[in-house]
Amino acid sequence: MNEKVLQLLLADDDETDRELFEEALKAVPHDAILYKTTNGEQLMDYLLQDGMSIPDALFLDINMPRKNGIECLAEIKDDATLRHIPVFIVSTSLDPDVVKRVYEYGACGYVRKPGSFKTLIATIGHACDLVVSGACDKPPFEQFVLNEKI
Amino acid sequence: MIPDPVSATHSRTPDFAEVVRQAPIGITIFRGPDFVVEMANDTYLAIVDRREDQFVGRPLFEVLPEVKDFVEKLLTDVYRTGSPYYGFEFPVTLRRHGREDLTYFNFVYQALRESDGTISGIIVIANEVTETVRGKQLLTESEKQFRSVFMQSPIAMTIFRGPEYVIEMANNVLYEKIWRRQPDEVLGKKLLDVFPELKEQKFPELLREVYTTGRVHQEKEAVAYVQGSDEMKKFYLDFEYAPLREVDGTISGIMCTVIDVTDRVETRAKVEQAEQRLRLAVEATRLATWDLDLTTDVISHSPQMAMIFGHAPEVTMTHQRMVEQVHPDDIPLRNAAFVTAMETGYYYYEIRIHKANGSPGWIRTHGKVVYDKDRKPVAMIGTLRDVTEEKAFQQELERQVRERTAQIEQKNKELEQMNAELKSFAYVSSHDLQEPLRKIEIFTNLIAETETGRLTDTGRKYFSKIQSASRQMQRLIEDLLQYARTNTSEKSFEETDMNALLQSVTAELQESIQSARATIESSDLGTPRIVAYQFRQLFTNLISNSLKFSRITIDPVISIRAEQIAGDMSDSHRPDPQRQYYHLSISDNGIGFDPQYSERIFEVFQRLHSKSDYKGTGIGLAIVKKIVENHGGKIRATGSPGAGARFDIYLPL
Repeated sequence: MNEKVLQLLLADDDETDRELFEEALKAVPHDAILYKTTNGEQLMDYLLQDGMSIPDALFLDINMPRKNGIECLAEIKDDATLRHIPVFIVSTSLDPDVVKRVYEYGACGYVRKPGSFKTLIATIGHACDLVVSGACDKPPFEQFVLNEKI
Repeated sequence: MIPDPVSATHSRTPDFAEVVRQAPIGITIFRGPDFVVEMANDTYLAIVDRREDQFVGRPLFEVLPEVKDFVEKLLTDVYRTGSPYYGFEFPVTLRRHGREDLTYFNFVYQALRESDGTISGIIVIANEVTETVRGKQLLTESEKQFRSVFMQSPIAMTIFRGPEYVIEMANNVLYEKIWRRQPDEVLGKKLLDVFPELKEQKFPELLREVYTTGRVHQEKEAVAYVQGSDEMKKFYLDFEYAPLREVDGTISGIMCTVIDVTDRVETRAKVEQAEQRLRLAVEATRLATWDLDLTTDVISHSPQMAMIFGHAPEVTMTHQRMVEQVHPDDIPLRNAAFVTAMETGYYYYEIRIHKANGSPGWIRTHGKVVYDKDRKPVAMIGTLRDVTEEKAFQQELERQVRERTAQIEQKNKELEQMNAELKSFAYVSSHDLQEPLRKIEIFTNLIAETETGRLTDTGRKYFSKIQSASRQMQRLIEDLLQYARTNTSEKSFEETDMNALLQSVTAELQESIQSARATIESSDLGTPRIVAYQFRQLFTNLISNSLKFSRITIDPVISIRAEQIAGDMSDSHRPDPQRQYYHLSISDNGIGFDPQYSERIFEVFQRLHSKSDYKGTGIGLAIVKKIVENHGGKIRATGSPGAGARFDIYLPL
């Protein structure tokens, strides 16, 4: 039913979280391939290399060594060729100040890493829906955090 | 032969006519109503300056027309009535010696009768008294002048007569300025009767001395107390008592002249006093004074100047010597001050010197430029002070301030560091602590979903305990984080519709409200300026708190009300009577609390109940209190066991 295999890129330094994300993505009703990097620097190196196939969406953990997710977000939104890629911010914490900041930087959504695997699946599914439907440009702020109320 | 009657009578007994002719008094006889001059003797002719041949035999007013106006009526009266007329110092203008002369006469006009009694003429006997009258007039005139000078004199004068000093006369200055009496109060009275206060003073003794010895007494700046009609007044007087003598040399009175020098003496006293004070002040401050002649570059100074530079007071400081003692580094400063003084007229510097004994010191000078009439600076005058101690004190103070500043900076750094550590603690608790916890949660969930069938009942029980413990820990971390964030929150105050805010909170808490069968009732809560998300938290925490501590036996009712209320000094929660306060109250019908804990319930981790009885982290009310304080407000909890709890919040508007 899906026309296209989604190419998703995850940047997270936590191995368990990468595994959980990958597991959950398998349960999501979208065909998707997951590329993984373990820090911000690696992410930006990947994105800025020549001939790189541009992913359909990025999932960035905030708290990463070397370059954190917010810095990456800012750089991506500053780059003409990368600017249009939907970016989802992923984090354990939910600090309203941070949420507001990344919303203003132009992220598509905020995923709070949930305590339940089911929720994780649902949230990733929701994010994929947004990507596929192309509803990633400036979502209403109330709907910005995908799996919780802000 | 006819004898010579004249020589004959002359030689023996002169006849009467000759006697009359030679008499030293003017005699003339007029005859008839036209007053034809029958005879006039030599004296009379001399008086009128006429020759006998011009005068005798002709009517009077023909030969002496100038007297007609004065005497015609008198002569006519005498001729007509026969009563004699006596003139005394009678003025007549005579044309004689080639000019008009105002002359005075004592005279008598006497009618001459014939044997039948009819009047046929008038005999005039006249004595010229012009000189006497003039003399008298001059005397009167000079007496008038004397009186006038006496009365108008700026020097007070008076004359005492007799041994009891009767006041004979006094002048205006004396009346007005010193005696302060009216003339009729004093004239003709004895001095000591009018001014009895003088008896206590030295003046009666002095008057007696002058009166008896005849020696003039003079005195300067004598103190005198005089009772005027207004008050007793103290005077300083320069005065003189001079005896007045009769023709025979006896003393009959005293002339007293007085100059009031009170103002002068008092002014001088004031000046002296001021000088004295200044000198004392200058000496007390050890201020040196100096003046510099700009044309010769010669400086003159008070002895203190030499002492400041470490010399004996009698040493004379030259400009050269002073410059030698100035700290070499500070010479430019002094030179610059001099240049400025030439521009502004004001000289000021503070520089270092070496005292004569080599010890360092500080001096401070203030000076003013003196100009001649062409605005050319000719001199400078000023003061100079040793400020070594002051400087030392100032430097010590500065050192202490620097030291304290350094200490404070150090403390600030420490505080900043602590703040940073706190922030990183908040971060660690928010992120790093939650991270493993979340994983515990996610994997326990996974196990619970997929592996629960393989666990024993005991295993499942333990497993659910792990889950609830990790959830509890999750909440704790979130609340702590919330608490820390409330502390540092940026304050975006906005007018907020509190009714809508409450509604959205109750909607969020819908499930727990329903399951507790609770009712939330509220009045109009208004639109105060607040930080909205913090009040969302506040409502959430307080409502949750009420739901948590509800009574099992009755359904919870939570009342939320708001009003605007004026400040009241007697209420520490809204102490400013000048202000309006937003008063929000949240009350319930729950289990309440012991009033002794009304403060403690707002402290972090203070729980009044065991965890098994009531769930919670013990941070909720602490967050509420912090939010209220963030808004500059106060919160108060009231309640009693079993009677519900009430929270009153006051925010200054």
